[in-house]
Amino acid sequence: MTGELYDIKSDMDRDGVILSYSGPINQDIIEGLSSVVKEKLKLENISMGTSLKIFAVFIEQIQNILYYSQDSLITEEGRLKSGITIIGRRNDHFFVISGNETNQFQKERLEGKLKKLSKMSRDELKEAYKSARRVESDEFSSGAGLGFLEMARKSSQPIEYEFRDIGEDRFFFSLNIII
Amino acid sequence: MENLNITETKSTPKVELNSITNKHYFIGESYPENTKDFYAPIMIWLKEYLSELPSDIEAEFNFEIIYFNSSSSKALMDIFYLIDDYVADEEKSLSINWLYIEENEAAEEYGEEFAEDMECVPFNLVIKEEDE
Repeated sequence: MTGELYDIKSDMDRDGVILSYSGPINQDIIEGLSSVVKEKLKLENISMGTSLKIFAVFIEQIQNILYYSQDSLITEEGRLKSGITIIGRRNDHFFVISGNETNQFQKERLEGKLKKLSKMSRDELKEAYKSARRVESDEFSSGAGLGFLEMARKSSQPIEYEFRDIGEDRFFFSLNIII
Repeated sequence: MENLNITETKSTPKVELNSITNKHYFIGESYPENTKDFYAPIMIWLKEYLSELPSDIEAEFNFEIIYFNSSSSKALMDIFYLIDDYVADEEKSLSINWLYIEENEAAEEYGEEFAEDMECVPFNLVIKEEDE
């Protein structure tokens, strides 16, 4: 493992990874990573608008892990959810990637949402965002179901995603948003 | 009624709701772990305050939220609708100021989108000096 670690790190550096975190996530971790992300983005010579877009997608993704990841341990404090999050830069674009385990039920729900989003224009995304904000949230969402619309609006390219079957009603959901 | 003061944290804004000055402030960032838990007591306070506020007393709501996540966006919208309804239905003298620094074009855009959904309450976009 120690020999491979340098290779993993070198690969990530070559791919433009600015930050990566894999493991259990709670609100303290999110707040801590947020401070680091903001500090790192200040060094990237980008506008405040771009930096906030990256930050916004990062928060939506990591909070989705916190709400929905099926990879969780029961601890004294409650459930500890796990996932992976990566921010990186390739030329003029930034990418924000997240991954977490999900189940068949959530997979179908997410796929439906993501397919719908992929067909929408900028204006349609804006209208959908505004009308979703007016209505009550659905019973399976912790937020208002607005997170994916928010990410789609920040994304400069179609959203990339994959559900990999890892057996026993488990799927690994990865999401890549390019800004 | 008693004022409501909430201290700022990394993921929740400072909230100062004041029934004596009738100037109210939300300042900071908003991405709480549980958005409903954070905003529920604020909504309760606002409903009581607005129902008791005489129509001729002016009240000002100032929002300076540098960043907010999507579920906070919904919570803020609920607050704005509540305020807008009191202006529409009971002609209360309320206004909303959305403050942002010029550099933060995202905050300006968010402010514009909130403003588009308001029917009666003045929703002012205010550029704030950075060194204030």
